Amino acid sequence: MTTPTGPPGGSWAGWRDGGGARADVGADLAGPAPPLLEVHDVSVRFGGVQALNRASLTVLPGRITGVIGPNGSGKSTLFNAITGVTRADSGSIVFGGTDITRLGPHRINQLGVGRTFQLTRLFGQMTAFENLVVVGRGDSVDVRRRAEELLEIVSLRHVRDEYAANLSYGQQKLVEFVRLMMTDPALVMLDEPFAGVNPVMERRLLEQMDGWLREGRTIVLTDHEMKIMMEICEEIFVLDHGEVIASGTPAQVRNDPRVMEAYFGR
Amino acid sequence: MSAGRDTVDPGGVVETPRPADRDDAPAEHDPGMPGARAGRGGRPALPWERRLPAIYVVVLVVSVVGLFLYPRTASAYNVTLALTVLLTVTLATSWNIISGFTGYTSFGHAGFFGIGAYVGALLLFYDRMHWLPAVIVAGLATAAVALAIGYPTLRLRGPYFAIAMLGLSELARIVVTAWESLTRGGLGVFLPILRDPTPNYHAMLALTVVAVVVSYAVGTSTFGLRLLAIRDDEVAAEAMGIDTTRHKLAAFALSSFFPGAAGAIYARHTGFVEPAAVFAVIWSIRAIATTMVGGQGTVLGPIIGAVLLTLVSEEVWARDPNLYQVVFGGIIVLVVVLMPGGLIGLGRRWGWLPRSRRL
Amino acid sequence: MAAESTPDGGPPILRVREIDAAYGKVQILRGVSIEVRPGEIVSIIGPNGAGKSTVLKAVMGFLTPSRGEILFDEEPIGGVRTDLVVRRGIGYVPQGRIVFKDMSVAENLEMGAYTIADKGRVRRRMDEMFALFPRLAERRKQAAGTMSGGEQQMLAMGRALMGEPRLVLMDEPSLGLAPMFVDLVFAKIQELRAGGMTLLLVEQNAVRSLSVSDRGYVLELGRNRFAGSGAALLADERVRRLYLGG
Repeated sequence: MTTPTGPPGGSWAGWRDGGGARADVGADLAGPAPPLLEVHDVSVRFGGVQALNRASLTVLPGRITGVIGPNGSGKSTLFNAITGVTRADSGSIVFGGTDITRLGPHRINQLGVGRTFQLTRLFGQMTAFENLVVVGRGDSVDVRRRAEELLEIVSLRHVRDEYAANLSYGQQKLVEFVRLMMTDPALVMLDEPFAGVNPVMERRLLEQMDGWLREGRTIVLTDHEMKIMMEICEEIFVLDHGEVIASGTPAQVRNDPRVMEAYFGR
Repeated sequence: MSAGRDTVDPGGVVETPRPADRDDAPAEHDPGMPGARAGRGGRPALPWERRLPAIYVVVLVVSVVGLFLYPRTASAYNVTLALTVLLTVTLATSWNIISGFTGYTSFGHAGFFGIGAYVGALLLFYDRMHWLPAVIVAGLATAAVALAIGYPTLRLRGPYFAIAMLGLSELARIVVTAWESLTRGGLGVFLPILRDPTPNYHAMLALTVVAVVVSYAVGTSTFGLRLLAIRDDEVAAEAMGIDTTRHKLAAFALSSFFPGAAGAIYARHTGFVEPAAVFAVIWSIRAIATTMVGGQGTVLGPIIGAVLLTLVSEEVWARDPNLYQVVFGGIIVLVVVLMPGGLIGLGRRWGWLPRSRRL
Repeated sequence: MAAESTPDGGPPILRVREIDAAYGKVQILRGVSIEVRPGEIVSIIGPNGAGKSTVLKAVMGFLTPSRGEILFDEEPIGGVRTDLVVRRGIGYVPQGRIVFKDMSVAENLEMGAYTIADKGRVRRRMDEMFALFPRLAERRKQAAGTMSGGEQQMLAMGRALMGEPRLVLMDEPSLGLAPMFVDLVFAKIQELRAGGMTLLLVEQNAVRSLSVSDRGYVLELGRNRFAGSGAALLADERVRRLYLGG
């Protein structure tokens, strides 16, 4: 695992304009890379509501993909379906060539899909360090070393033995981020990572995400803060009433009349 | 409204510009987060904490030796009392493994106790084997039953699981009562009355030591940490790759071995088993109450609680049997309302005890 | 907001002044201010996560603002228990058409009149509701859970009105409804205003909402962003761009 060197240029926008060390995956290769995640015609219905209606999307490896949509559009359900928390009624979800549609959440995580939740879900009765160790796999000495490393990277060594419930909100978010890394996911799914977060913490979270992309991981995220989503995502899928109504680059999506209609109204 | 910074344009729309930097709302303690109450406080490492394992070994050896020799100087009544204390420690410690750590409050300990008592008693009654292996067989049989019923029941959420186990416990009693050809039903099983309680007492001591050691191993291991994760937030634990079903089943089977084996020893000790006695709900309640008083999810909690409550209740019961129930009930209510973390939790909250998992 | 001439010259019936509100540790509202004058329809719109629903919840007493105050008829109601807020004269139609599924339409309406002791008055009020919502009259004995979304929304509105409120708060009334019912809901909203009711709406569908509103507030990330008349906001390019990260 290479240690991220921090965002180049000191500003996120600068990095996005291609000044960084990250190669544009697929651009120089012969042909596009195969998708890392394929969601195909997935439908989910509960409580009499069609939460997802034949939703399809593809995520290419090494990219940062966004999912946006108004309230009730099905973003959370989509995340839950992919990570196995909710069962898809129909359709298929394929991750790295493996059909994960019917697998349980722990199995899906073991295959390489990690996620965070909207409000931080740390194990409150354990220390920050224990939160990391408990999800680690493999040799316990290695696990503990990794946990210490990760805490060091986010400068949270000093709260190592603090109960997670006692940490500040921003600290909890960071711990949740690195806890995710303990499971070494190839695909990182972030559910509203910037909710209730101040700009300083925002920068720290973005630094982490930057590091992950350099390590070759893939990121899918959803958030209400449109500005940031448009700035950092390379591709965006727009959901409305459980369906994917548009997809493309941020610029394309922003100018799509259907998207404006979904958000602003008819 | 901040009238100074707003701009009004000819169209009649007032704009409030975005602030340059947003406030950082100070993080307040969120009472909603799991563990917020029980997890508060506790000093980080104290100097003597690192020596805890060594201290434990010494204390364990000393107390085992002392307890082993106890019958030589004590009356039969006191030996029985000591056996009861050890029995309660075993029940509490083992209950803690499934319920204290995992958070699945089980009312099934009475059922396991009864099954173990009957398996042990019947093996002896029909003269199948020597009593020591019979105790072990009883424990294993009970664990097997637990594995079988755990698979469906551990899927249920908290209160439903509790009620399901209560129901299954009763079901076991009814089955045993009805299966007269095997169990002699309501008549009960009579075993030879023994003059000397010492061998049974020693067996119970051995079982208790094993239970305590296993509890320590679970409490200080990653396995135990994962059980705590399941208690805190099972969905998050699953999402982080923890196979919660397998963990719960393992804890359930492990925890049920002990009431089973203890039931067999108890059967031999009292010389008579009948369904109403060995399947009585009080066995579950004793395990639950003592563990809660001492501190769920800790290693020492069940031990402290069991010793304390058993001795206290014996004293109170000796003075006034009626008062005994009031005091017992009162203590349980007090603990649930005021100190959900039990005595260990209280000690941690007041800063006397460290947060170490070894406690 | 600078004092403008009000439709009927009265003081604001509701004043939300610089409130901060949070769910646990997550700060939702920061210094939000809203004013509603008698007889108006005011809309609160804004992108997701703006905290629009939270404003209504703060008024209704579901959560207590950590700063600022809420005044109903110049009486402070911030942090007051919800049932007392209702008794003072504010009706609430929650998001998602929460109706008592196993109860009939009539029973649901009765529940709305919980605060009225006089049975005669309750019956008269129910008749008024059936006059206002003929569809409900046809289905008075029908179990609420078997009705369509639009009909349930009517029922939720009727139930809120049973308590004879002077101000009605509606949280996303058109969410998830078929276009026909969206039209119906907004028609009813206008009918209510014509009858003298004051309404504060939170809406996803900014266009529909602003087109029936006298005034509107646009919130972004828990703060006031724009304010103005319904028509002015509707026409404003900056408001549109706000929705997609401009």
